[in-house]
Amino acid sequence: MSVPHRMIGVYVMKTGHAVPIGPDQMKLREAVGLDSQPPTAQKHKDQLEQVQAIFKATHYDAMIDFDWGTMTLKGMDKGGKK
Amino acid sequence: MSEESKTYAYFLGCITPNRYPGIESATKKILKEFGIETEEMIGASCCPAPGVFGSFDMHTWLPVAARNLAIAEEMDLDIVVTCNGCYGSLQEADHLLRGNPKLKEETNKILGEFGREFKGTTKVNHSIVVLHDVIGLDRLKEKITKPMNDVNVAVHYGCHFLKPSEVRGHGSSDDPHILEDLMQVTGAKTPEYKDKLMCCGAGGGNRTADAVQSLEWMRQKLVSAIEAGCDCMVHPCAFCHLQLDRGQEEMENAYGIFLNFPILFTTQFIGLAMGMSEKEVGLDQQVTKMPDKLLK
Repeated sequence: MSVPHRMIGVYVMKTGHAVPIGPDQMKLREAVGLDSQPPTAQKHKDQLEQVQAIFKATHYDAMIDFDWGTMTLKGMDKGGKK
Repeated sequence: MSEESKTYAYFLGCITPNRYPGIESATKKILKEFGIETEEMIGASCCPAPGVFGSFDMHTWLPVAARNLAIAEEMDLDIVVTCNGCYGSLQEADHLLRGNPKLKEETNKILGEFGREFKGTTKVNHSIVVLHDVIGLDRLKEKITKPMNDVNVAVHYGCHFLKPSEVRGHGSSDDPHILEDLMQVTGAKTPEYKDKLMCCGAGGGNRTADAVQSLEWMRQKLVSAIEAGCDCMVHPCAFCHLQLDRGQEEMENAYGIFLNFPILFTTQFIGLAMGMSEKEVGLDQQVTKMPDKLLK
């Protein structure tokens, strides 16, 4: 798998979502009359832990070289990897 | 339960709530207008994306999807979605698990570690099918207060809405008509254009892997619609929306070409035709700007 594809896995393991929400997007939600953050896995830590448990059980984390300590791909903190 | 009091579990996915919340607000408002409620799926995650997860590791994709299905089952509700990727992942996971006891057993062993179980008791529905088949064209037409008679719409279906056609159940993937039917209810015309059934360019992990090729696919599709005299593009997929709307900004940044071809999710377009404002359905938050004839 390419690094960009593996990074999508990183986002899901960190937040539960391939496209996570941030402060700017929360404002967009409020502008259309919605709660600032949807009640998805990113908002609920206990729910996110269930998603993370799946990735550990299937060894997807090992498949993409995910580092649970840094919560990104191994080696990314040392100048990245190919 | 009558159709008027139907409630769905709204599976939001990632892009609808986290990038284009106007799709979420327009969909909720239209369904509510017809007496259909939506409930949040607490703790739902990425579907997960069929291209980036399903294509690489089915044995991870499946339990993540099954967990999402199990949340709706615990709510005792059928699911409604606003993204073809979510539709594809959830409906295909449901189909696979119902037809394969061994896969179901393996999946439930993983889900059981945190007290969840896939049972096969929910149904995955696309929002535009709910509009077309549950609400119905006649009832929709009664609510159109701002007809789009002078608007030519390029309909874009997206890949996962149509295929695999035997699982989707929307008839021929070569000659679909749901979007045309919905647009005609608003008074809009739907000219044929060369690349109507072409991918938006993002799917299958392509947007992530190869931005140049992905944007070129998108450019070809949009130019084909513009050459056919279309005023805007209407589609049923939040991921296609990201590609077709934000992709036009990316194309401008990379090549200095800005088409500004308006992109609308189906419920955003119908919301305008029902008298909702541009702001209510989030169209003022987009890269592509809406022409006056859509906002009159």
